[in-house]
Amino acid sequence: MTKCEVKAGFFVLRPCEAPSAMQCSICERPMCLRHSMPVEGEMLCTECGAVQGDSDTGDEEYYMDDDGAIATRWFYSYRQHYYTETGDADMLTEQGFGADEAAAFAGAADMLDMQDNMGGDDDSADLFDS
Amino acid sequence: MNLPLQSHPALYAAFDVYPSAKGAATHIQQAAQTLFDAAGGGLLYVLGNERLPRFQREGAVEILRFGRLLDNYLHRALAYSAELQAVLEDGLQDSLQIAQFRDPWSGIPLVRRATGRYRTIYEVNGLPSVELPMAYPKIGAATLGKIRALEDECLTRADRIVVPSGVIRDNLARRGVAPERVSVIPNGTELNHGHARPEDAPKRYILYFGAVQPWQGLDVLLRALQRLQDIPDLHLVICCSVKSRRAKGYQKLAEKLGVAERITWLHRLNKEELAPWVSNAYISVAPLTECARNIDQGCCPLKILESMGAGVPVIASDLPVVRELVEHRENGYLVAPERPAELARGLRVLLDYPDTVAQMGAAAQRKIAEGLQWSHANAALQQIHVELISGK
Ligand SMILES: [Zn+2]
Ligand SMILES: [Zn+2]
Repeated sequence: MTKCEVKAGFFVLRPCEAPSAMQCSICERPMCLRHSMPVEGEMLCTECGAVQGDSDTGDEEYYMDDDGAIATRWFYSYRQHYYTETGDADMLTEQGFGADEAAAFAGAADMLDMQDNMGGDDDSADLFDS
Repeated sequence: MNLPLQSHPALYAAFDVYPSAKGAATHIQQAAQTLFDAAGGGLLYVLGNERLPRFQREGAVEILRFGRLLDNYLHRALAYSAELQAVLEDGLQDSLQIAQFRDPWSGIPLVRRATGRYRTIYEVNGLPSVELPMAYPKIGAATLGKIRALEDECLTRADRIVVPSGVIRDNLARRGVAPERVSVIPNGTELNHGHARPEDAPKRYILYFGAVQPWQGLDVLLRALQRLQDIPDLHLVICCSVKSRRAKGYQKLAEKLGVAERITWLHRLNKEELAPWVSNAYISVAPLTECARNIDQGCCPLKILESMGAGVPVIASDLPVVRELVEHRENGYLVAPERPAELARGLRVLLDYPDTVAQMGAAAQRKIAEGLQWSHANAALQQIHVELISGK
Protein backbone atom coordinates (compact mmCIF):
# COMPACT_ATOMS: atom_id res chain seq x y z
CA MET A 1 0.00 0.00 0.00
CA THR A 2 1.28 3.49 -0.80
CA LYS A 3 1.97 5.76 2.11
CA CYS A 4 1.60 9.52 2.55
CA GLU A 5 4.95 11.23 1.93
CA VAL A 6 4.12 14.67 3.26
CA LYS A 7 6.55 15.83 5.98
CA ALA A 8 5.10 15.33 9.41
CA GLY A 9 6.29 15.58 13.01
CA PHE A 10 6.20 18.21 15.69
CA PHE A 11 9.91 18.28 16.49
CA VAL A 12 11.65 15.78 14.24
CA LEU A 13 10.31 15.89 10.69
CA ARG A 14 9.72 12.59 8.90
CA PRO A 15 7.24 11.31 6.30
CA CYS A 16 3.66 10.97 7.60
CA GLU A 17 3.26 7.36 6.35
CA ALA A 18 -0.51 7.20 6.79
CA PRO A 19 -2.22 5.24 3.98
CA SER A 20 -2.28 7.51 0.96
CA ALA A 21 -5.64 8.40 -0.54
CA MET A 22 -4.52 10.30 -3.64
CA GLN A 23 -1.67 12.09 -5.34
CA CYS A 24 -0.74 15.76 -5.13
CA SER A 25 -1.49 17.40 -8.49
CA ILE A 26 1.74 19.37 -8.37
CA CYS A 27 4.51 17.26 -6.83
CA GLU A 28 2.70 13.96 -7.47
CA ARG A 29 3.54 12.74 -4.00
CA PRO A 30 1.15 10.24 -2.49
CA MET A 31 -0.75 11.96 0.33
CA CYS A 32 -3.33 11.08 2.98
CA LEU A 33 -6.63 12.94 3.43
CA ARG A 34 -5.32 14.96 6.33
CA HIS A 35 -2.36 16.26 4.35
CA SER A 36 -4.34 17.28 1.30
CA MET A 37 -6.23 20.47 0.61
CA PRO A 38 -8.36 21.74 -2.27
CA VAL A 39 -6.83 24.67 -4.14
CA GLU A 40 -8.54 25.97 -7.29
CA GLY A 41 -10.36 22.71 -7.78
CA GLU A 42 -7.25 20.58 -7.48
CA MET A 43 -6.13 18.49 -4.56
CA LEU A 44 -2.69 19.51 -3.35
CA CYS A 45 -0.51 18.34 -0.50
CA THR A 46 -0.27 20.80 2.40
CA GLU A 47 3.23 21.87 1.37
CA CYS A 48 2.33 22.62 -2.26
CA GLY A 49 -0.96 24.14 -1.14
CA ALA A 50 0.88 26.53 1.14
CA VAL A 51 2.97 28.00 -1.67
CA GLN A 52 0.28 28.20 -4.36
CA GLY A 53 -1.50 31.24 -5.69
CA ASP A 54 -4.90 32.46 -4.63
CA SER A 55 -7.48 29.79 -4.28
CA ASP A 56 -11.12 30.13 -5.20
CA THR A 57 -12.33 28.64 -1.98
CA GLY A 58 -14.79 30.55 0.17
CA ASP A 59 -14.26 32.22 3.50
CA GLU A 60 -15.35 29.29 5.55
CA GLU A 61 -16.14 25.72 4.83
CA TYR A 62 -17.43 22.77 6.74
CA TYR A 63 -15.65 19.51 6.61
CA MET A 64 -15.74 16.16 8.33
CA ASP A 65 -12.91 15.60 10.74
CA ASP A 66 -11.50 12.16 11.57
CA ASP A 67 -14.26 11.38 14.03
CA GLY A 68 -16.92 12.24 11.50
CA ALA A 69 -17.82 15.44 13.36
CA ILE A 70 -18.54 18.63 11.49
CA ALA A 71 -15.90 21.25 12.15
CA THR A 72 -15.19 24.65 10.70
CA ARG A 73 -12.10 25.83 8.97
CA TRP A 74 -11.26 29.36 8.17
CA PHE A 75 -9.07 30.60 5.41
CA TYR A 76 -5.99 32.60 5.91
CA SER A 77 -5.02 34.60 2.83
CA TYR A 78 -1.31 34.99 2.58
CA ARG A 79 -0.43 38.38 1.19
CA GLN A 80 3.00 38.05 -0.29
CA HIS A 81 2.92 41.66 -1.47
CA TYR A 82 2.01 42.91 1.98
CA TYR A 83 5.52 43.97 2.74
CA THR A 84 8.84 44.05 0.98
CA GLU A 85 12.10 45.37 2.31
CA THR A 86 12.70 47.82 -0.47
CA GLY A 87 9.19 48.94 -1.29
CA ASP A 88 6.88 49.37 1.61
CA ALA A 89 7.96 51.31 4.66
CA ASP A 90 4.39 51.52 5.99
CA MET A 91 4.92 48.77 8.45
CA LEU A 92 7.83 50.56 10.06
CA THR A 93 5.79 53.70 10.49
CA GLU A 94 2.75 51.75 11.68
CA GLN A 95 4.81 50.51 14.63
CA GLY A 96 6.34 53.93 15.14
CA PHE A 97 9.73 53.32 13.53
CA GLY A 98 11.21 55.85 11.12
CA ALA A 99 12.13 54.47 7.70
CA ASP A 100 15.79 55.25 8.40
CA GLU A 101 15.91 53.30 11.65
CA ALA A 102 15.97 49.91 9.93
CA ALA A 103 19.47 50.56 8.57
CA ALA A 104 21.05 49.63 11.91
CA PHE A 105 19.50 46.14 11.65
CA ALA A 106 20.95 45.35 8.22
CA GLY A 107 23.30 42.62 7.13
CA ALA A 108 22.81 39.00 6.14
CA ALA A 109 25.70 37.86 8.31
CA ASP A 110 24.22 39.72 11.22
CA MET A 111 20.96 38.00 10.54
CA LEU A 112 22.53 34.57 10.81
CA ASP A 113 24.29 35.47 14.02
CA MET A 114 21.17 37.01 15.41
CA GLN A 115 19.21 33.86 14.72
CA ASP A 116 21.74 32.10 16.91
CA ASN A 117 21.68 34.80 19.51
CA MET A 118 17.95 34.73 19.75
CA GLY A 119 18.06 30.98 20.03
CA GLY A 120 17.04 30.17 16.49
CA ASP A 121 18.96 28.46 13.74
CA ASP A 122 19.36 29.32 10.11
CA ASP A 123 19.68 25.77 9.03
CA SER A 124 18.14 22.74 10.67
CA ALA A 125 19.10 19.96 8.31
CA ASP A 126 20.00 17.64 11.13
CA LEU A 127 16.40 17.56 12.33
CA PHE A 128 15.07 16.09 9.13
CA ASP A 129 14.33 12.44 8.68
CA SER A 130 16.60 11.56 11.55
CA MET B 1 -2.93 31.71 -1.36
CA ASN B 2 -5.64 30.65 0.99
CA LEU B 3 -4.66 28.19 3.68
CA PRO B 4 -7.57 26.27 5.13
CA LEU B 5 -6.58 26.44 8.76
CA GLN B 6 -8.55 24.66 11.43
CA SER B 7 -10.40 26.57 14.11
CA HIS B 8 -7.86 26.70 16.91
CA PRO B 9 -8.49 27.23 20.64
CA ALA B 10 -4.82 28.01 21.31
CA LEU B 11 -1.89 29.76 19.69
CA TYR B 12 1.80 29.57 20.52
CA ALA B 13 3.84 32.21 18.71
CA ALA B 14 7.62 32.58 18.68
CA PHE B 15 9.98 34.62 16.51
CA ASP B 16 12.36 31.65 16.37
CA VAL B 17 13.12 29.03 13.75
CA TYR B 18 11.37 25.83 14.74
CA PRO B 19 12.41 23.05 14.90
CA SER B 20 16.13 23.65 15.27
CA ALA B 21 19.09 22.28 17.20
CA LYS B 22 18.96 25.19 19.64
CA GLY B 23 17.83 25.23 23.24
CA ALA B 24 15.05 27.66 22.39
CA ALA B 25 13.45 25.05 20.13
CA THR B 26 13.38 22.50 22.94
CA HIS B 27 11.74 25.06 25.18
CA ILE B 28 9.18 25.92 22.49
CA GLN B 29 8.39 22.24 21.96
CA GLN B 30 7.78 21.66 25.68
CA ALA B 31 5.72 24.81 26.24
CA ALA B 32 3.67 24.57 23.02
CA GLN B 33 2.88 20.89 23.56
CA THR B 34 1.74 21.65 27.11
CA LEU B 35 -0.47 24.48 25.86
CA PHE B 36 -1.99 22.40 23.06
CA ASP B 37 -2.64 19.49 25.44
CA ALA B 38 -4.49 21.81 27.83
CA ALA B 39 -6.52 23.50 25.09
CA GLY B 40 -7.16 20.49 22.85
CA GLY B 41 -5.05 21.55 19.89
CA GLY B 42 -3.68 24.77 18.53
CA LEU B 43 -1.66 26.69 16.01
CA LEU B 44 2.10 27.08 16.28
CA TYR B 45 3.33 30.21 14.49
CA VAL B 46 7.12 30.34 14.15
CA LEU B 47 9.92 31.24 11.73
CA GLY B 48 10.78 28.93 8.86
CA ASN B 49 13.71 28.63 6.50
CA GLU B 50 14.27 27.26 2.99
CA ARG B 51 13.99 23.68 4.16
CA LEU B 52 11.07 23.76 6.52
CA PRO B 53 7.54 23.39 5.12
CA ARG B 54 5.58 26.61 5.36
CA PHE B 55 2.59 24.71 6.65
CA GLN B 56 2.16 21.42 8.50
CA ARG B 57 -0.84 19.64 9.90
CA GLU B 58 -0.39 17.26 12.83
CA GLY B 59 -3.83 16.16 13.97
CA ALA B 60 -5.31 18.98 16.04
CA VAL B 61 -2.07 20.94 15.81
CA GLU B 62 -1.09 23.02 12.81
CA ILE B 63 2.25 24.73 12.24
CA LEU B 64 2.45 27.91 10.18
CA ARG B 65 5.92 29.25 9.47
CA PHE B 66 6.73 32.77 8.46
CA GLY B 67 8.64 32.06 5.30
CA ARG B 68 10.01 35.39 4.09
CA LEU B 69 13.78 35.37 4.26
CA LEU B 70 14.21 39.10 4.83
CA ASP B 71 17.79 40.03 5.62
CA ASN B 72 17.05 43.01 7.78
CA TYR B 73 16.13 41.98 11.32
CA LEU B 74 13.67 44.82 11.90
CA HIS B 75 11.96 44.27 8.56
CA ARG B 76 11.74 40.57 9.26
CA ALA B 77 10.37 41.09 12.76
CA LEU B 78 7.73 43.56 11.63
CA ALA B 79 6.70 41.48 8.61
CA TYR B 80 6.39 38.44 10.90
CA SER B 81 4.25 40.56 13.19
CA ALA B 82 2.07 41.79 10.32
CA GLU B 83 1.47 38.27 9.11
CA LEU B 84 0.39 37.21 12.60
CA GLN B 85 -1.98 40.17 12.67
CA ALA B 86 -3.46 39.03 9.33
CA VAL B 87 -3.85 35.46 10.61
CA LEU B 88 -5.69 36.74 13.68
CA GLU B 89 -7.98 39.02 11.69
CA ASP B 90 -8.70 36.36 9.08
CA GLY B 91 -10.46 34.31 11.73
CA LEU B 92 -8.11 32.96 14.36
CA GLN B 93 -8.98 35.64 16.92
CA ASP B 94 -12.60 34.42 17.02
CA SER B 95 -11.80 30.84 17.98
CA LEU B 96 -8.86 31.50 20.29
CA GLN B 97 -9.22 31.00 24.02
CA ILE B 98 -5.58 31.35 24.92
CA ALA B 99 -2.38 32.60 23.31
CA GLN B 100 1.18 32.30 24.54
CA PHE B 101 4.08 34.26 23.04
CA ARG B 102 7.82 34.68 23.55
CA ASP B 103 8.66 38.11 22.17
CA PRO B 104 7.10 41.51 21.42
CA TRP B 105 6.99 40.80 17.67
CA SER B 106 4.48 38.04 18.44
CA GLY B 107 2.99 39.83 21.41
CA ILE B 108 1.98 43.18 19.95
CA PRO B 109 -0.64 41.87 17.48
CA LEU B 110 -1.83 39.42 20.15
CA VAL B 111 -2.32 41.74 23.13
CA ARG B 112 -3.95 44.43 20.99
CA ARG B 113 -6.71 42.03 19.89
CA ALA B 114 -7.11 39.99 23.07
CA THR B 115 -9.59 42.07 25.06
CA GLY B 116 -12.92 40.30 25.32
CA ARG B 117 -11.66 37.47 23.15
CA TYR B 118 -8.83 35.37 24.58
CA ARG B 119 -6.26 35.33 27.39
CA THR B 120 -2.55 35.88 26.88
CA ILE B 121 0.69 34.65 28.44
CA TYR B 122 3.99 36.44 27.80
CA GLU B 123 6.88 34.05 28.27
CA VAL B 124 9.91 36.30 28.78
CA ASN B 125 13.11 34.38 28.14
CA GLY B 126 15.03 37.27 26.69
CA LEU B 127 14.33 40.86 25.76
CA PRO B 128 15.22 42.22 22.32
CA SER B 129 16.02 45.60 23.89
CA VAL B 130 18.82 43.91 25.86
CA GLU B 131 20.02 41.32 23.32
CA LEU B 132 19.73 43.22 20.03
CA PRO B 133 22.38 45.87 20.78
CA MET B 134 24.95 43.08 21.22
CA ALA B 135 24.32 41.87 17.67
CA TYR B 136 23.60 45.27 16.11
CA PRO B 137 25.71 47.88 17.91
CA LYS B 138 24.51 50.63 15.58
CA ILE B 139 20.96 50.63 16.90
CA GLY B 140 20.26 54.10 18.24
CA ALA B 141 18.94 54.92 21.69
CA ALA B 142 15.66 56.21 20.26
CA THR B 143 15.08 52.98 18.35
CA LEU B 144 15.86 50.90 21.43
CA GLY B 145 13.41 53.05 23.37
CA LYS B 146 10.69 52.16 20.88
CA ILE B 147 11.47 48.46 21.18
CA ARG B 148 11.36 48.80 24.96
CA ALA B 149 7.97 50.47 24.63
CA LEU B 150 6.67 47.50 22.62
CA GLU B 151 7.98 45.17 25.33
CA ASP B 152 6.33 47.31 28.00
CA GLU B 153 3.01 47.20 26.19
CA CYS B 154 3.18 43.39 26.10
CA LEU B 155 4.22 43.29 29.77
CA THR B 156 1.34 45.57 30.77
CA ARG B 157 -1.39 43.94 28.72
CA ALA B 158 -0.58 40.22 29.01
CA ASP B 159 -2.77 38.36 31.50
CA ARG B 160 0.17 36.38 32.85
CA ILE B 161 3.95 36.56 32.60
CA VAL B 162 6.20 33.53 32.83
CA VAL B 163 9.98 33.79 33.27
CA PRO B 164 12.64 31.07 33.67
CA SER B 165 14.61 32.75 36.46
CA GLY B 166 14.31 35.01 39.48
CA VAL B 167 16.83 37.40 37.90
CA ILE B 168 14.45 38.08 35.01
CA ARG B 169 11.54 38.52 37.43
CA ASP B 170 13.59 41.12 39.35
CA ASN B 171 14.54 42.83 36.11
CA LEU B 172 10.87 43.08 35.13
CA ALA B 173 10.04 44.38 38.62
CA ARG B 174 12.50 47.25 38.03
CA ARG B 175 10.50 48.00 34.90
CA GLY B 176 7.32 48.25 36.94
CA VAL B 177 5.87 44.77 36.53
CA ALA B 178 4.24 43.66 39.79
CA PRO B 179 6.02 40.47 40.96
CA GLU B 180 2.68 38.79 41.72
CA ARG B 181 1.83 38.83 38.00
CA VAL B 182 5.02 36.91 37.25
CA SER B 183 5.49 33.15 37.61
CA VAL B 184 9.05 31.82 37.75
CA ILE B 185 9.19 28.48 35.96
CA PRO B 186 12.79 27.34 35.40
CA ASN B 187 13.65 25.51 32.22
CA GLY B 188 13.77 21.74 32.50
CA THR B 189 15.78 18.89 31.11
CA GLU B 190 15.63 15.12 30.90
CA LEU B 191 17.58 12.81 33.16
CA ASN B 192 20.36 11.32 31.05
CA HIS B 193 21.40 8.03 32.63
CA GLY B 194 24.56 7.36 30.75
CA HIS B 195 25.32 6.41 27.19
CA ALA B 196 28.09 4.32 25.66
CA ARG B 197 31.25 6.37 25.37
CA PRO B 198 31.68 7.90 21.90
CA GLU B 199 34.36 5.88 20.09
CA ASP B 200 36.59 8.84 19.39
CA ALA B 201 36.26 10.39 22.86
CA PRO B 202 39.45 11.16 24.81
CA LYS B 203 39.82 9.13 28.01
CA ARG B 204 39.07 12.11 30.24
CA TYR B 205 37.71 15.34 28.84
CA ILE B 206 36.25 18.66 29.87
CA LEU B 207 33.14 19.57 27.87
CA TYR B 208 31.83 22.85 26.51
CA PHE B 209 28.61 22.67 24.54
CA GLY B 210 26.15 25.14 23.09
CA ALA B 211 26.37 28.24 20.95
CA VAL B 212 29.34 30.58 20.92
CA GLN B 213 27.90 34.07 21.36
CA PRO B 214 30.23 36.50 23.14
CA TRP B 215 28.23 36.23 26.38
CA GLN B 216 28.98 32.49 26.64
CA GLY B 217 32.60 33.24 27.55
CA LEU B 218 34.27 30.53 25.48
CA ASP B 219 37.38 32.75 25.15
CA VAL B 220 37.76 32.73 28.95
CA LEU B 221 37.77 28.94 28.89
CA LEU B 222 40.43 28.84 26.15
CA ARG B 223 42.63 31.20 28.16
CA ALA B 224 42.15 29.03 31.24
CA LEU B 225 43.17 25.98 29.25
CA GLN B 226 46.44 27.71 28.37
CA ARG B 227 47.25 27.84 32.08
CA LEU B 228 46.74 24.09 32.43
CA GLN B 229 49.28 23.06 29.80
CA ASP B 230 51.32 21.19 32.42
CA ILE B 231 48.53 18.66 33.00
CA PRO B 232 49.11 15.61 30.79
CA ASP B 233 46.20 14.17 28.81
CA LEU B 234 43.97 17.15 29.36
CA HIS B 235 41.34 17.45 26.66
CA LEU B 236 38.58 19.89 25.94
CA VAL B 237 35.69 18.80 23.74
CA ILE B 238 33.65 21.64 22.25
CA CYS B 239 30.24 20.61 20.89
CA CYS B 240 29.30 23.73 19.06
CA SER B 241 25.68 24.20 18.01
CA VAL B 242 26.57 26.46 15.09
CA LYS B 243 28.45 25.85 11.85
CA SER B 244 32.22 25.73 12.04
CA ARG B 245 32.71 28.97 10.14
CA ARG B 246 31.04 30.87 12.95
CA ALA B 247 33.44 29.40 15.50
CA LYS B 248 36.48 30.38 13.42
CA GLY B 249 37.48 33.24 15.69
CA TYR B 250 37.69 30.87 18.65
CA GLN B 251 39.64 28.30 16.66
CA LYS B 252 42.17 30.98 15.76
CA LEU B 253 42.37 32.07 19.39
CA ALA B 254 43.03 28.47 20.44
CA GLU B 255 45.91 28.28 17.96
CA LYS B 256 47.33 31.57 19.16
CA LEU B 257 47.19 30.37 22.77
CA GLY B 258 48.87 27.10 21.81
CA VAL B 259 46.01 24.90 23.04
CA ALA B 260 44.52 23.89 19.67
CA GLU B 261 45.86 20.32 19.78
CA ARG B 262 44.09 19.72 23.10
CA ILE B 263 40.70 20.58 21.65
CA THR B 264 38.24 18.39 19.76
CA TRP B 265 35.67 20.45 17.85
CA LEU B 266 32.32 18.91 16.98
CA HIS B 267 29.71 20.92 15.16
CA ARG B 268 25.95 20.88 15.12
CA LEU B 269 25.36 17.50 16.73
CA ASN B 270 21.71 16.60 17.13
CA LYS B 271 20.26 15.71 20.52
CA GLU B 272 20.96 11.99 20.17
CA GLU B 273 24.55 12.56 19.09
CA LEU B 274 25.23 15.11 21.83
CA ALA B 275 23.87 13.08 24.77
CA PRO B 276 26.78 10.54 24.93
CA TRP B 277 29.32 13.37 24.84
CA VAL B 278 27.58 15.04 27.76
CA SER B 279 27.10 11.98 29.93
CA ASN B 280 30.70 10.79 29.51
CA ALA B 281 32.32 14.16 30.24
CA TYR B 282 34.44 14.50 33.37
CA ILE B 283 33.10 17.97 33.98
CA SER B 284 31.17 20.55 31.98
CA VAL B 285 32.06 24.25 31.77
CA ALA B 286 29.70 27.26 31.59
CA PRO B 287 32.01 30.30 31.60
CA LEU B 288 29.19 32.87 31.19
CA THR B 289 30.33 36.49 31.14
CA GLU B 290 29.24 39.31 33.37
CA CYS B 291 27.31 41.16 30.64
CA ALA B 292 23.94 42.90 30.66
CA ARG B 293 22.30 39.86 29.14
CA ASN B 294 23.46 37.50 31.89
CA ILE B 295 23.36 39.97 34.79
CA ASP B 296 20.45 42.37 34.25
CA GLN B 297 18.21 40.47 31.93
CA GLY B 298 18.79 36.97 33.21
CA CYS B 299 18.60 33.59 31.52
CA CYS B 300 18.28 29.93 32.45
CA PRO B 301 21.13 28.12 30.69
CA LEU B 302 19.98 24.79 29.33
CA LYS B 303 23.56 23.56 29.10
CA ILE B 304 23.87 23.72 32.89
CA LEU B 305 20.60 21.83 33.37
CA GLU B 306 21.48 19.24 30.74
CA SER B 307 24.89 18.55 32.25
CA MET B 308 23.41 18.21 35.73
CA GLY B 309 20.70 15.90 34.37
CA ALA B 310 23.47 13.66 33.03
CA GLY B 311 25.17 13.56 36.43
CA VAL B 312 28.02 15.74 35.20
CA PRO B 313 28.85 18.63 37.51
CA VAL B 314 29.29 22.08 36.02
CA ILE B 315 32.06 24.55 36.74
CA ALA B 316 30.40 27.86 36.02
CA SER B 317 30.70 31.60 36.47
CA ASP B 318 29.45 32.80 39.83
CA LEU B 319 26.44 34.83 38.64
CA PRO B 320 22.98 35.14 40.20
CA VAL B 321 21.37 33.22 37.31
CA VAL B 322 23.79 30.36 37.87
CA ARG B 323 23.37 30.38 41.65
CA GLU B 324 19.68 29.65 41.10
CA LEU B 325 20.77 26.24 39.77
CA VAL B 326 24.25 25.44 41.13
CA GLU B 327 25.37 25.27 44.76
CA HIS B 328 29.09 25.76 45.10
CA ARG B 329 30.91 22.54 46.09
CA GLU B 330 27.56 20.78 46.60
CA ASN B 331 26.46 20.01 43.07
CA GLY B 332 28.92 22.10 41.06
CA TYR B 333 31.69 24.62 41.32
CA LEU B 334 31.49 28.41 40.96
CA VAL B 335 34.31 30.74 39.96
CA ALA B 336 34.52 34.48 39.36
CA PRO B 337 33.38 35.32 35.83
CA GLU B 338 35.78 36.45 33.10
CA ARG B 339 38.90 35.46 35.09
CA PRO B 340 40.83 32.77 33.21
CA ALA B 341 43.19 32.28 36.17
CA GLU B 342 40.29 31.58 38.54
CA LEU B 343 38.66 29.19 36.10
CA ALA B 344 42.00 27.41 35.62
CA ARG B 345 42.45 27.12 39.38
CA GLY B 346 38.94 25.65 39.76
CA LEU B 347 39.51 23.17 36.96
CA ARG B 348 42.82 22.11 38.51
CA VAL B 349 41.17 21.40 41.85
CA LEU B 350 38.41 19.39 40.20
CA LEU B 351 40.84 17.43 38.04
CA ASP B 352 42.74 16.47 41.22
CA TYR B 353 39.68 15.15 43.07
CA PRO B 354 37.71 12.69 40.93
CA ASP B 355 35.77 11.34 43.92
CA THR B 356 34.49 14.79 44.80
CA VAL B 357 33.55 15.36 41.17
CA ALA B 358 31.60 12.09 41.13
CA GLN B 359 29.76 13.08 44.34
CA MET B 360 28.90 16.51 42.96
CA GLY B 361 27.65 14.88 39.77
CA ALA B 362 25.32 12.60 41.70
CA ALA B 363 24.04 15.57 43.72
CA ALA B 364 23.49 17.56 40.52
CA GLN B 365 21.43 14.76 39.02
CA ARG B 366 19.38 14.48 42.24
CA LYS B 367 18.63 18.20 42.07
CA ILE B 368 17.29 17.79 38.51
CA ALA B 369 15.28 14.70 39.46
CA GLU B 370 13.68 16.56 42.35
CA GLY B 371 12.39 19.58 40.48
CA LEU B 372 14.06 20.56 37.24
CA GLN B 373 12.77 18.07 34.71
CA TRP B 374 10.59 19.23 31.83
CA SER B 375 7.71 17.42 33.51
CA HIS B 376 8.03 19.83 36.48
CA ALA B 377 8.12 22.92 34.25
CA ASN B 378 5.24 21.64 32.15
CA ALA B 379 3.08 20.91 35.20
CA ALA B 380 3.59 24.45 36.50
CA LEU B 381 2.79 25.92 33.10
CA GLN B 382 -0.22 23.67 32.67
CA GLN B 383 -1.71 25.01 35.88
CA ILE B 384 -1.60 28.52 34.40
CA HIS B 385 -3.13 27.30 31.15
CA VAL B 386 -5.98 25.62 32.97
CA GLU B 387 -6.65 28.70 35.11
CA LEU B 388 -6.72 31.01 32.10
CA ILE B 389 -8.85 28.70 29.95
CA SER B 390 -11.38 28.20 32.75
CA GLY B 391 -11.58 31.98 33.08
CA LYS B 392 -10.03 32.54 36.50
ZN1 LIG C 1 2.60 18.47 -3.37
ZN1 LIG D 1 -0.30 12.32 5.72
